[in-house]
Amino acid sequence: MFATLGASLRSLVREERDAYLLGLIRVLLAVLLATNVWARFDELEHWTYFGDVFHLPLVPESWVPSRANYVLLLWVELGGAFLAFLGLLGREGLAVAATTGLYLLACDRLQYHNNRFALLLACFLCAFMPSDRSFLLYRGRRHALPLESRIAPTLPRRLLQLQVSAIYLSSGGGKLFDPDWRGGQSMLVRFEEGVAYARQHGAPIADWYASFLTSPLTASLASKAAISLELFLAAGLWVPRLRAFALWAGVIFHLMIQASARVELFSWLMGVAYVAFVTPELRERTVRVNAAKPLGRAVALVLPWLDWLARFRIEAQPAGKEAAVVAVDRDGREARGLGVPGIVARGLPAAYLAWPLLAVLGRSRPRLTDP
Amino acid sequence: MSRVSPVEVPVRARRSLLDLGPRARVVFALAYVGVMAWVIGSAQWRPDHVFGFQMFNQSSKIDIRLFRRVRGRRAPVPIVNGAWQARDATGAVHGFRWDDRVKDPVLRVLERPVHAKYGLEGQLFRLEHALADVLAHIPDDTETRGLVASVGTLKNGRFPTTVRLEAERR
Repeated sequence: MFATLGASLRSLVREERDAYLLGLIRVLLAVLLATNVWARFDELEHWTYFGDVFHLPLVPESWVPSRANYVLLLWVELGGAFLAFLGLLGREGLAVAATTGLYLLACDRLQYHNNRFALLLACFLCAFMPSDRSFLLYRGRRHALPLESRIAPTLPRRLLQLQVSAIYLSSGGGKLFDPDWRGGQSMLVRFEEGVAYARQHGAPIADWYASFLTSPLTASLASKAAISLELFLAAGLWVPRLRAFALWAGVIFHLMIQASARVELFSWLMGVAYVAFVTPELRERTVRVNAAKPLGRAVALVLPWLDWLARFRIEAQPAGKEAAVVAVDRDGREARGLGVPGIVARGLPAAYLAWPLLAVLGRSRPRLTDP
Repeated sequence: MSRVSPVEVPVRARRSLLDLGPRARVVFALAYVGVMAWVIGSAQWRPDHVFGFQMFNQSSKIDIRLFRRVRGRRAPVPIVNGAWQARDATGAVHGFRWDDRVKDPVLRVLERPVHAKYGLEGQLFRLEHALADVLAHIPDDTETRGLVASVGTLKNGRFPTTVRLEAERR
């Protein structure tokens, strides 16, 4: 067992993969970081500088910057994010921006938010990834290096994955060991407040639905479901057979959090971090289109615009084949008709939420389209 | 036929200072995992669990009421709506406000219940520091010897209690 574990760790350390998607992660993190810094500028303009009022530094008070230096450091962070977005010294820019951000976070624990810390850690890790081989936006359309230049050691990508798992583990574990959370009391109060808030603001909530939401049993089940889901995500994202479902469940989970709580950029950040779990190799699935058919032409037109993770290779159907669209999965399985959306949706972020439903529909009626 | 292959040019990857060699990569990874385990693990012992990724850890509330300890009076004097008046060393009267100094969205709310973000313990810890901070930043108030906070707490909707925090001028 230890030998197997050792071999797995050694293979992780030596792992070299296509770094194309890491460039996408860099660009998206840069956007989130810039948004975060912009919010700090906004606070400064419309609120106050934290150092001028009550603050609680984790570092010695003398390390807390003056207002002028704080503004300067925010510009440094923003500049780093801008370089990272362009891909021009992007990793260095991201490293400087993340380090500056972490330092500022330590200057006032009142400003600490889990999402800000997680964002800065993701940026820091991304700076150590070979994320400068694609999405070099300053180069325009020629943004990606050739494949042989993109293959690189991607151990920090594994660290980002580990960081995501640690977030879920810590959050879910903390709730698991808290009797009020585990038993549903904490969630019950949250539901009661949510219903009261909605009614105060004129939202029509039926009595039966309000009673259902504020029932201790509902709260207890919801708590256990939330804890189970977080712990499942911590582990499930590492298991190849569970990964696609874990990512799907995670997206649903974060959409629900985004809709029900103020978590700043957290949901977006986790969405970006999920890209680190996507298979790094590109275009291992094929969509064959029949240009003689309207559906084939439509798919050939639309798919490239939605294929943000470069999952699909589009090819022409060989002559004599009737189907408008044929999807070939990574393992060589071919699908036609209703089987196609399931395979395609699995590779498209914009359609990912519908993937399980489409996959089930496709598999339950294969004979209708594949005689 | 494929129209979506990334446009590639024959360029080698630029060498970055952040490209680590095989051994340095392992050292970096071990150091990162070790530091992160310590940071997250030790958050359990920080009252506000900062750096611990404890999301939505409580649904508790606090209700802060402030008082002043004033020279010549035994009982603390209530601070109404976070504002009070006091004299300086020359006898001139000045107005003071709690939220002139305390801008935190939880701690600046007085006399009504507010959600205790990051938990009760975290907010009480922060409030204790806020009292001392405000006291240290009102040099024109020579009458106030101390600030007292009487905090009504409700942990996850239950167990209402009152906690008293106090800061004295040194």
